[in-house]
Amino acid sequence: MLYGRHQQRVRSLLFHHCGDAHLDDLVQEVFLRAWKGLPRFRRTAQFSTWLYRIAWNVAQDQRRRYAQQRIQLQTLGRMALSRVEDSQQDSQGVLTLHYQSLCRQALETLKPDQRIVLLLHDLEDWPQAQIAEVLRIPVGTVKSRLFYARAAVRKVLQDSGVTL
Amino acid sequence: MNPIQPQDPNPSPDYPDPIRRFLQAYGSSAPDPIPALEDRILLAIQSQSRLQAPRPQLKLWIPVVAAVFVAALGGEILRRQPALSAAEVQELELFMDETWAAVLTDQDTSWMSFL
Repeated sequence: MLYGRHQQRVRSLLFHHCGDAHLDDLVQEVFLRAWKGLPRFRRTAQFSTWLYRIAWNVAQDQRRRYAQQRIQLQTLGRMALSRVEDSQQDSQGVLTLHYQSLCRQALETLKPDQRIVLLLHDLEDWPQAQIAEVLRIPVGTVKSRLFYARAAVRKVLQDSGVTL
Repeated sequence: MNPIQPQDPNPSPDYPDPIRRFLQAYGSSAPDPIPALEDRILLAIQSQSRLQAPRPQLKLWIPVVAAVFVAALGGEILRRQPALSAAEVQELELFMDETWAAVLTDQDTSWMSFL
């Protein structure tokens, strides 16, 4: 039941921070760590926030492993997006594919801490307060990173001739 | 298009932003999990539970069980020893009397041979 309720957000967080390689394994790791840590769970925080913090820790650990293995996350993201593009090529126009590619390029220019805030808030509709709790940063920092991330994405799009 | 204000000390991006709409239209989402992922997670949790199950302290209760067994067996053996009949008791007393009488008095003990 807890898996059904929370797995989508856990999965999104892991995906946006680590790409889609080993995504199922990472989701499993999150819920396994949550089960092991249940005796230490204090009810001062919401269970969802506690669980997403575990997901964030797992994501950070995976990024460190990638860094040690010198795997480019951009490459992983490119692979994930190209799979989406290939599957949608028959049903959507070239323009959509172009915008999807621009979106990916714009996100790749962001620092990881700005990118994750932008994606969790704008793409996954996480409240700012929850992002702040999960990433253990002030709400003001969430707002600031969001602001500058949007500005950076907007600039890339403008430079590519896209007007929003 | 909304103007960019990098000098704004208190950025407040709570209003609907075109970037948000663009991302939701063209951003990629996480792929769906494999159908059996939930079962796989449950199996992993169950195997962890078995590994962490407390094992009984064998080295503590084995000697206790052994002591109880020996005590019960000894008691059973003593209980089952048959009591002597009156005739057996009389025969035993006669034997004891004849044997020790030779020790205590100067009777002929030639029948007694010692190796």
